[in-house]
Amino acid sequence: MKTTFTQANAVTLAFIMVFFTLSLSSCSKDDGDNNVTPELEVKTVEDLDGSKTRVLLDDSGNPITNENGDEVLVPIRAYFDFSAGKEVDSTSTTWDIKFDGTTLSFGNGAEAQLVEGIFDNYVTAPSTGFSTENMAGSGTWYNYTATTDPQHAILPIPGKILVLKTHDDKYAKIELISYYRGNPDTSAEAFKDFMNRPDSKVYTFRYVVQPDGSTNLK
Amino acid sequence: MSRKLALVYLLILWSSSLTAQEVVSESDTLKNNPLDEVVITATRTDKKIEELPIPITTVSSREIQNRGMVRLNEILAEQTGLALVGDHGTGVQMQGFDAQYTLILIDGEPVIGRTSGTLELSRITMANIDRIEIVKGPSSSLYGSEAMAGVINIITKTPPKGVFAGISTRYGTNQSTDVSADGSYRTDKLTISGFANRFSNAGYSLMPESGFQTVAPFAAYTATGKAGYKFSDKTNVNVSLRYYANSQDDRYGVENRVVSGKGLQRDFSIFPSITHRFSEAHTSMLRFYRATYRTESSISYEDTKELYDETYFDQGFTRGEFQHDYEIRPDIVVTAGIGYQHETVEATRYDDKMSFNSGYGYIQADWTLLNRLNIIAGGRYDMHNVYRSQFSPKLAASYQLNKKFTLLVSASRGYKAPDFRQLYLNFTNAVAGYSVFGYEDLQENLQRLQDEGQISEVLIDPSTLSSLNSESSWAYNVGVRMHPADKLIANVNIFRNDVDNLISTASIATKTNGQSVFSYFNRNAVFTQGGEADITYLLSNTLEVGGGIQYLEAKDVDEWNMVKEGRAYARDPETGRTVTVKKSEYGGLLNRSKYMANARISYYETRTGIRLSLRWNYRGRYGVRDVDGNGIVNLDNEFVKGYSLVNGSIYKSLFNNTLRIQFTTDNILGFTNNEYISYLPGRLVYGGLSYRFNK
Repeated sequence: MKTTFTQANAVTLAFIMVFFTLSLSSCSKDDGDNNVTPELEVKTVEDLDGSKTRVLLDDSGNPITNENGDEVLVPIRAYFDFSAGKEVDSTSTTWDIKFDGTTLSFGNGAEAQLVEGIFDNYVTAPSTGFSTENMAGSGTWYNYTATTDPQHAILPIPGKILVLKTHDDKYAKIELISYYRGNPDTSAEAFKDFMNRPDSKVYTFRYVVQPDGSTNLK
Repeated sequence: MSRKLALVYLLILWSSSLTAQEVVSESDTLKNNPLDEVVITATRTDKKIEELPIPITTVSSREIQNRGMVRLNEILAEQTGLALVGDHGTGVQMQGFDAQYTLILIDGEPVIGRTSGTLELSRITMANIDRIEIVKGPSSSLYGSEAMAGVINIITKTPPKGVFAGISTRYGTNQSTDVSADGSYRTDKLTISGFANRFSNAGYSLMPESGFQTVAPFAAYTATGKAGYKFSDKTNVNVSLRYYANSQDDRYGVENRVVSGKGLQRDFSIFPSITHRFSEAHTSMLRFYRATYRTESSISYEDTKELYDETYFDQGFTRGEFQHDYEIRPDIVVTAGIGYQHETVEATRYDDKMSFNSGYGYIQADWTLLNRLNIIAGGRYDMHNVYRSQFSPKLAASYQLNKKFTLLVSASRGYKAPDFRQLYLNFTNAVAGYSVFGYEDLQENLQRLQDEGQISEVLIDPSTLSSLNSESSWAYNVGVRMHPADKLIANVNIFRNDVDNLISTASIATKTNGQSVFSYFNRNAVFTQGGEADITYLLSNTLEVGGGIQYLEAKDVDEWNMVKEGRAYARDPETGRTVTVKKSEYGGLLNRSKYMANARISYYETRTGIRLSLRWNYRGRYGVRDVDGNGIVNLDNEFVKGYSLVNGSIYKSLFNNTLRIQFTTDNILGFTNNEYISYLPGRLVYGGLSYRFNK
């Protein structure tokens, strides 16, 4: 059989290939983000340190040692009072959030919930949906990267806003930015190596508190 | 390097001047009509490619030789629509599926031994094969689990009549050495063949300043034997054996100390079968297959000689199967089979010896109507002792519009059973401190950690979980097979795979050390869709050109919905502010290139008898990481840039095709990416020599 490659065949071939390419590409339309000019002050806390430890002591004040003779260390958590805008210690009765590794707990009557959105554009706190339950686990306020690069990293999820009703019934919004000391560049080669990353459990976040007790967070 | 290159080139030129001008023999001309080729993988019966309603491609041993290739990974890297991916070894990505979803067979029987789902492709030598058959789209209707993306079947050589022997070698960069020897004897009734291969490499480092190898030095041995006896025109008995052993020298840094040791891997298989033709219409085949796979690794600190890590993994696979083909009429063939499978695994990371039992049956009808329409309908039912039974149907049809164009349509279901790891893993990372437990023993392992006071919070109560089930997909393929001119062949195929119940890890509890406990869940739904086109044009008897492209979208359904609804956010790397992820920014699943392309040219210079082959392979950018914490690929720096690999080969046959000299350069442009592509060592130069003898 000897056939020639006719023009008609070439056209059919070209048509099929073009059709198949076109049929797969889709158009997309994206919305721009409307930016809101904030009226309340946006404060930033850098490196709230929840990585410190202390030696565990027995009742008589002597260090407790393990079977290897090493002193037993216990973590010192970080506590934050949002109404006062400062770090407090565990004995305080005004802390709102306890930063316990990747778990956030709420105390002294403070309640919280996670919402989605752009921090600056989120202007009204919800009236319901608050809870005193701990926030823990990958997918809540952070993602754990597991074996995806950068491996074994805790990365706060962009667009997750923690809305807080403080211990003294003020509304606040909080955006967690970093879980590592110095808020390092997570795309840097140095951050890839999880053995030599900056200290974890060191928090950087931004927040806004409405002092008048209303839900306005603009 | 270039001096070496010039030297070999001169050598080839010189040798060509020694021999008289050779006539272009049958074996020298480039491909005949590849659509006439008979294949077995798509239907489990012998069938010509042009009669099949299913996308299938083949790669002949001659093509592999022309390109100077010796291992499976090298040849798959150059096929349209396939991409190599590195994850605990080098595997193959097909239609946007990870390596664990492609079933790899040798003569129709599965190769076992995967690490985190990847079957290391370089384990399989190309020196003793006849061809590779690649079926795209699920074939679970015939092969069951794992054949969700497709099937790659390596068909080993059947020796010709007489006595043959041969030896072939290839040596090059990184002291890469591949040596094969084979011999065969065949009469009317008896066939015996043996094959041995040694493949070794001194390893290489993409970051020499680290002081460690990116790929460790290794030496691997393959030995195979085949024997067949034809009792009569009706009855055939065959048995094949395969043995593979690999020893690797590992050395790397752990917390500022150096550890090193040996990693050993061994696999063995035996495959006896008997075929009997009862009549023109009835043929039966009884096959038995037993394969074992074992790895051992012992790593110690170099300073103190203290043991750092010692692991082993032991897998066994046994299967008996009976298949019957019944030709009801010349235009209707029914194929049916039943089988039973027993699998075991015993390993450091599993608590006990685990075993699976499964039984299955399949049936397929192949019906040709009016000489133009071919319909294949079939299905397979798999029953399993651990997870839910699975039915995998398939319906495929082809319609020959005319001599030049054939339309192909198929819809089929694919599935992949949960593997041992997903069911029984019991692993705690000593360095990072997290734990991963398989579904089946999750409750007791979690309880143990709770009793030891290691758990700070349980996020999901394991008793509320429903049992882990198979991942499954519906797949649709629509294509056109074109033969518009005598010397031109083109294929176009559009595919869509909807995958449900995809198994992924999620944290189930947090530990007091701040890390998590993970287990496996049927969590995600993903889809892959796209199309591929491939064209081969024989410009003359001595010059062939070809090329292919693939367009692919592979997305997670939930992620894609979030992006579409504007609920996916990113952190702007410059300002640190949160912004919405645009649809055009969403990169889909990790490791998937939207575009891939290749082009190839092969030329036979009749006067000197030199054959040249040059190929270009392009892989478009693909996502590799998530640096802004949103769990999806969207920022530019979360992608690896697209890259090109150019490979070339030149060879000459001497003394009536008994001796051949070959010179190959892979990755001529010397592309490397030390961060994300560990399996690309840069430019590789090889020289090869082979000799065949027959009596």
